[in-house]
Amino acid sequence: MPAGGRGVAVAVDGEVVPRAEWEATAIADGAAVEIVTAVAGG
Amino acid sequence: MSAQAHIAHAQAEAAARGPFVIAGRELRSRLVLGTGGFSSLELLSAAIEACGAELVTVALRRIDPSARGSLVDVLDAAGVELLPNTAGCFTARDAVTTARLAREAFGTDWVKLEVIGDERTLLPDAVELVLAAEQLVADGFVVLPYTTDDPVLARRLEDVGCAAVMPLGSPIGSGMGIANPYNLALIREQTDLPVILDAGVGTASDAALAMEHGCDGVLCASAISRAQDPVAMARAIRGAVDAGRLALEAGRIPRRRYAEASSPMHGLAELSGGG
Repeated sequence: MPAGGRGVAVAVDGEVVPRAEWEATAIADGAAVEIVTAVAGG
Repeated sequence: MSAQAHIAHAQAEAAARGPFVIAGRELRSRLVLGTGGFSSLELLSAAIEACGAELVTVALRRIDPSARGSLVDVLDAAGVELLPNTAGCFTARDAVTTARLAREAFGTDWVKLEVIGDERTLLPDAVELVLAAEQLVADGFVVLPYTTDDPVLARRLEDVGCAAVMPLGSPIGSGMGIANPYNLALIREQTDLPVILDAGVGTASDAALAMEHGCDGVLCASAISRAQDPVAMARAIRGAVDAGRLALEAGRIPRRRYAEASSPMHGLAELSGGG
């Protein structure tokens, strides 16, 4: 992952987790975690 | 006013709109580049330079640890602004979440809103699109919706507070150009928002035509990235956008049913003898 997380975002169970809250966010068992970044696209 | 005079009037108004401004931000280039479809990041980088775009779109997907090179690094190095899209979303809910992820990832509240209603044609889902636009505007986004060429839908998108409208010329990647120039002209006539032709451009003349119809800008992806020589096509479409805009500002002659001679009849020599 790039330093500082530039270009990366995280959603847990469909809700965006702001970067500032990454450290403090606990992930429950079975939670749907999505980590996304930029890809080429129109 | 005759229909033709009406169109001429609308085009004159479009020409008088001045610089390309979206949500208070002036853009140097009227060509927006979609980054999809390039065979390498090097080619994308060369095409960005050749087309002069200042705003380029990106999509959001699951992070791929095996991906080679960083798209964001390439785009940052090119000095362009990112316009994240919500491509691949079929519901307002998914599109809104994707826009929020993009805002978090790239620190921009601009979004090219796409909500697709049909997998084969990739045509927008009008109902979900308006719903998503409304929610994103309320959430502080600068919303640029990819829409059909329906003037009524364009008006609805304006009503909910979108910053521009991006009607298609024809389906994404189809290269069929502007299928319904009449509808595009109607959209241009009715709104003061920037109108950006999005989708359908196949070659340079399509982009020129969009500009001649009074569009403020043109978005191209496949037309450039999937051309035989993408960098040369980037240059061609850049020239076409400039030419179309210049032609709009210059004011074209009206279409006529019959010829109108440009040489004077007065003083014509009598050459058939006798008299």
